[in-house]
Amino acid sequence: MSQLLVAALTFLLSVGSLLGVAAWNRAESHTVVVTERELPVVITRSSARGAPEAVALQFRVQQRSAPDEARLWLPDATLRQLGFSLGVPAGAPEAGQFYLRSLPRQSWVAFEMDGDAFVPIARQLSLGGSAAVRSGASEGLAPSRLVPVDAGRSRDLLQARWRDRPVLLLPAVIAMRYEQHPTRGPSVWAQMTGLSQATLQVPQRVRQAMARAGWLGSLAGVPSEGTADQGMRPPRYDVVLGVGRLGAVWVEDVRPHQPRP
Amino acid sequence: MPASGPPPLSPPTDEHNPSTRALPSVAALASVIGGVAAVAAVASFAETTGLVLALPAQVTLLTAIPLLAMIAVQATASRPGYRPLGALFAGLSVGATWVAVFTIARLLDLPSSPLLLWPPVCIGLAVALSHGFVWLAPASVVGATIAVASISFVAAGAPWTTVFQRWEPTLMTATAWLVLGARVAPLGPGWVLMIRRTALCMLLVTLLVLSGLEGMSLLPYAPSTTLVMYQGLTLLTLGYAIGWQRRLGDGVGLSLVAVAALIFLLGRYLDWRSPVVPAWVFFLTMALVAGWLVRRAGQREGRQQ
Repeated sequence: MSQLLVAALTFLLSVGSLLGVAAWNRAESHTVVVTERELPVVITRSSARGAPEAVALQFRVQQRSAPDEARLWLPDATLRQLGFSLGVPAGAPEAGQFYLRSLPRQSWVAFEMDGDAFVPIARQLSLGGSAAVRSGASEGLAPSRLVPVDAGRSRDLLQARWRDRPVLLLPAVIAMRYEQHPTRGPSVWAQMTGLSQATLQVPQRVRQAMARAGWLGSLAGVPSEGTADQGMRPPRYDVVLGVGRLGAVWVEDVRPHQPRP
Repeated sequence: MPASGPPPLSPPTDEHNPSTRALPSVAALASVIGGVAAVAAVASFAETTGLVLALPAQVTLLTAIPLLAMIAVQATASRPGYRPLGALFAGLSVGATWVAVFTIARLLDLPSSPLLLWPPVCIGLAVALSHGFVWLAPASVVGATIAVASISFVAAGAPWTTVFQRWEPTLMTATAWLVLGARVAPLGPGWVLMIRRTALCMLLVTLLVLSGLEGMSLLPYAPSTTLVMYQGLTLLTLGYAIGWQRRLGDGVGLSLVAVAALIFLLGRYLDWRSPVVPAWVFFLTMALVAGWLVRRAGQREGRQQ
């Protein structure tokens, strides 16, 4: 009996701790607004024609993972700060093994929303766009305008560095890459392999509002957008994200999309 | 003078105490299957109710299910004839705890962390201890191993999930369990055997991964060198483990090692193909090993009769 009591108390304490951490995170927060392009709806079904089992919003970001692009926001100095060892030149015979064995790093990444970093990507899109730029365009939705611009080991450090510009800081995993290109030769760079919090839950109140507005359905029938996202569907809604003191993000509200002036 | 040597294989079970009496194997199996099915039902129910319930109601529901299962364990496990039902509820309470902790963290948009492994591990051990449901403890031992092994990666600034990509810390932790397993004898009957078999399973699985797949090691050598090193270590370990389990007379442990040895040999055969080992030599070896196992099993049954 006493062991079962200990088990029950441990469980209640654990649930209480989770609620406490979430409440402490949300006690001091600021908001960031993104659109459906950056947070489309993901509906989980038990089968292809089955009823929906879960509704969530999943982050879509520009990866900037090609070597030339990745070096713009993940230069050697940043990689050293993140704890990567760059002591072996790319041309050395052991470079491939050395960099592929390197452990990935848990980091904080600063994302700029529709800012200067998106300008060259928009230019590429207007010229037809590469597959990498258009990646993640589900149901013809326009590409995400959330672009990684910097990375750091500590959230506070990154926050101080980007104090004057609005950025969204998210925990992500960064890993080293090595490639032996037949014409360009050996190349070493780093790329973001995934976000630690890739999916956000939709509160019941927001989910009901989205269902009433028809935002949980298909994008078919929505007119295409001009300019940079030619031939793509425009976003239908904006998402107000809360960012807490621990950096954990949550959905505060979803409202009809307001195009930027 | 205290007795030395290996701990007893089948520690004396208190057959007169209904709260710790071992279950018949069929009842135990049925309880495990029932428990797993009930946990799957809870996980599916929690997922589906997410669409109709608000967050407080979801959290309340997820918290209530394991607690109710624990009450049911207390009500049934000590009553004559109801012990298999108690085992089922014990499995449900532990499984529902795992589901509840991870689902609540996800519902609150908290990033995943190895810290989340600890509450279900502790609760699993407490429930297993309460009424002698030792078969529940392996999940806690495996959870604790992953939680301990992931600490080294978190300390190095890597994501904790790297524990599934680089296996040496898990290998070390499983070895530690194997070495220290005999110390848990005061916990109750069957605990030494359970810890030893679980640790042996983890050690063998880890060695099979390290010796069979490239890029799973932290060692600073070429992948081919690392594979050969671990293949040598696996062979040595398998040889030692067979001798050890034979000395202990643990048939289940011996079967675990034999299965691992067959998987290892099959993996090497698929790696090297026929130029090194002709197919008939490989399959004849496997048949001989299988024959030896069958003969051993027959002898054991004969002795029992």
